[in-house]
Amino acid sequence: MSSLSNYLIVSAILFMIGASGVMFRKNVIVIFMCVELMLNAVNLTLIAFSQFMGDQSGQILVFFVMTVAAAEAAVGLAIVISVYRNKETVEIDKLNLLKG
Amino acid sequence: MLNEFSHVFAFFLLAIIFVAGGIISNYFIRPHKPNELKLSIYECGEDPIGSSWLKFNIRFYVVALIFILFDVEIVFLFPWAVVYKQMGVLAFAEMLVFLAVLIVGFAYVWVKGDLDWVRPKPYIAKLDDLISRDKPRIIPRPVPTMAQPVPEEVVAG
Amino acid sequence: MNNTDFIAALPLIILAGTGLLILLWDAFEKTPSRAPLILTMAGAIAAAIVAGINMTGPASVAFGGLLYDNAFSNFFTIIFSAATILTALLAERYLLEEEVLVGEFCALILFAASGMVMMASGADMLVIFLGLETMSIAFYVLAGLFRTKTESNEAALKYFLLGAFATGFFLYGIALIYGSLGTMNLVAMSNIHSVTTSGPMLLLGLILLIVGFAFKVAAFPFHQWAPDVYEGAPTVVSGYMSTAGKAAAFSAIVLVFSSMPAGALAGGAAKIQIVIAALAACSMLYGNIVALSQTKIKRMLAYSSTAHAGYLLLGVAALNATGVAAIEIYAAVYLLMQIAAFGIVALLEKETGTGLNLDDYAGLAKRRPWAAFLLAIIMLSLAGIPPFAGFFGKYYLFLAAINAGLTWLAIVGVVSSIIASYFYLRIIVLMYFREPLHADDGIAVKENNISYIAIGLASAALVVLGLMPGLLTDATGYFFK
Repeated sequence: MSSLSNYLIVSAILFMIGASGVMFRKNVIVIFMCVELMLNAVNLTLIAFSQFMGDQSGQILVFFVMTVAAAEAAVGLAIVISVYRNKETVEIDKLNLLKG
Repeated sequence: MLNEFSHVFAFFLLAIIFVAGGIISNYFIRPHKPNELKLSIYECGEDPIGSSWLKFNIRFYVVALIFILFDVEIVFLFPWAVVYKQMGVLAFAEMLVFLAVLIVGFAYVWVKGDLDWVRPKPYIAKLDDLISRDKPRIIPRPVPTMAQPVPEEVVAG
Repeated sequence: MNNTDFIAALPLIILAGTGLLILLWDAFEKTPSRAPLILTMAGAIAAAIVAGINMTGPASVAFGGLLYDNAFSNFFTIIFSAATILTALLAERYLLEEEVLVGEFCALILFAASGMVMMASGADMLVIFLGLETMSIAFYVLAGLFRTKTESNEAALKYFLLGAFATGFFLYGIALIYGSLGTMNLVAMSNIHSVTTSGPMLLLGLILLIVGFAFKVAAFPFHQWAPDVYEGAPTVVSGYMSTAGKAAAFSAIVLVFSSMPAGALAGGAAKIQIVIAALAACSMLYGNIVALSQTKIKRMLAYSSTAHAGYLLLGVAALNATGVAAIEIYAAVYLLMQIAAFGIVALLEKETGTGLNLDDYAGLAKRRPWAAFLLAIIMLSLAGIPPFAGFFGKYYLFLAAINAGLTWLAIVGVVSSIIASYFYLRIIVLMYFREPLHADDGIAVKENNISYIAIGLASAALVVLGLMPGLLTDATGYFFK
């Protein structure tokens, strides 16, 4: 079997890909997918720890993260839809009504 | 020699050979007699109209969102099923509570008309309704319009 | 599992149950009425009473180490309930005029409140995470409550994207802490005696946790979303998010940090303290300096809320008994001040969304003497001028910082408070000593006694607590028994 650090490195890379996607992409849907990638990278970390430490609470948290991510997806996409209805765009640069 | 992953790899290889072999042998055995109708895109037996890159009606997304929520909640049933026999009545009662909460959400979605294809307009209380109760109130009635200005060129295939 | 577990969780059950009840009511009852608002208040009052009774009982951990039932958790439960009641009172007229589904609003603020209670009483990082998400998801929807208004949509989208981003960091922090300490349970964590070898991973986990948390409370480098969201979201919702939401995040971070096993970090503890102290100092200075140049009242309050997050962070940096008590006191006081301030803004806001510039407040004392009077009290308290409660809240926080050896941080706090008093007092000057700028009445006259009662209650509480700070310190004192 691979060692714990392999899993941690993979999940850290995934997390960074997700985080940089959130910072640099313009399309709201893509940003949202990157957020999901971050959450799943964390899930991988949790499962790896849980497996190697023989402790189940990590896996239980993963269950909750999955359901929470689904709820977040539902709310987030609903918000995107309502933005699209009013603005006809999902590009983050074009949403600039609120500026100080 | 063979560890767990090589088993997986063997299955993977076998699957590729099986599918690719079928397609390739098919290519050599089959007769080649193309005509216009045969080369057209197959779409449920109908003539295809326009490009397939269309905007889908937004109702699809709403139904999909609702589906996702109820779908993912099932994940909690698996650990519950594993320990059900040891925990007995308590586990059963807890799952009833869990499902009751889900059912409240489901009832809300259903009654509000979000599962209908044409959604009734939400009725929003205005201040006048509360201040002058004697005044005739507007009865909420389903308005048969699409709730959003998305082009209606697409209907389910 | 037994009855005491359920009694410990009763405030949570009441809040969530009332929310579900309102959802059902909203689905089946077509006649518009005030019933959801009344039900919300009843639920919140019941939760507060149960929490008050639990507070006098012995401290315990319910559900096999998942939920704390002690003075700390119950104190926060009471202030979250108070925030919910105030918000429901303020929302009454505002929401009905702005044409928003009242049932949905009430259910959502109750769900958010139950999430906050989970955050303040979670004895396991799983529960804290669940609470955080329950609260945040409810807030995302609340921010976008005005479905047809573009500003509200945009605010919801921004809040959602940055909130979800922050959740990722928060969760990664939890995962790394779990990996390095071998448990997610805070009770088990604080009982670890042997120092683990995975110091750097724990340190990284804590830093990530702080990043996620700083996003949620809009502390300095992660505050950019706050002014936009508070401006675009419905005013009443902004008041609720910026107070109760922040208090909940602070309660959770105090729980996690105070459970860190002694010695696990070795030299790292000092580094963490420096990081938090830097965040606190920057938030206080930046928030107050930028608030000086704002011309819109909601943005000004948003920047000042960043500054207030800085004051509260001062207590986290100190992390001693005084610091925790000071966070409790200031969270309660700040909640009263900020909700009341947003309440007045909502009261004076025109239906068209204007009336939100600072200029519109010129000469307010002549037109709306009561509103001006109450706003003056709130502003004096926000500025931290004695004898109002804001002063004592800040006093305890600075005291905690000095006790922890962070005298420089307390000095930064005092300096930034002096800067802040300029823009708080400027509003009072505008209201009392300037003529209205607009020929027509700059602010539409909406008479609403219920809102006045809510704001009046909050202001009266500020005066009473300012004159008798012992009331609050006694309540927090239970924590240290």
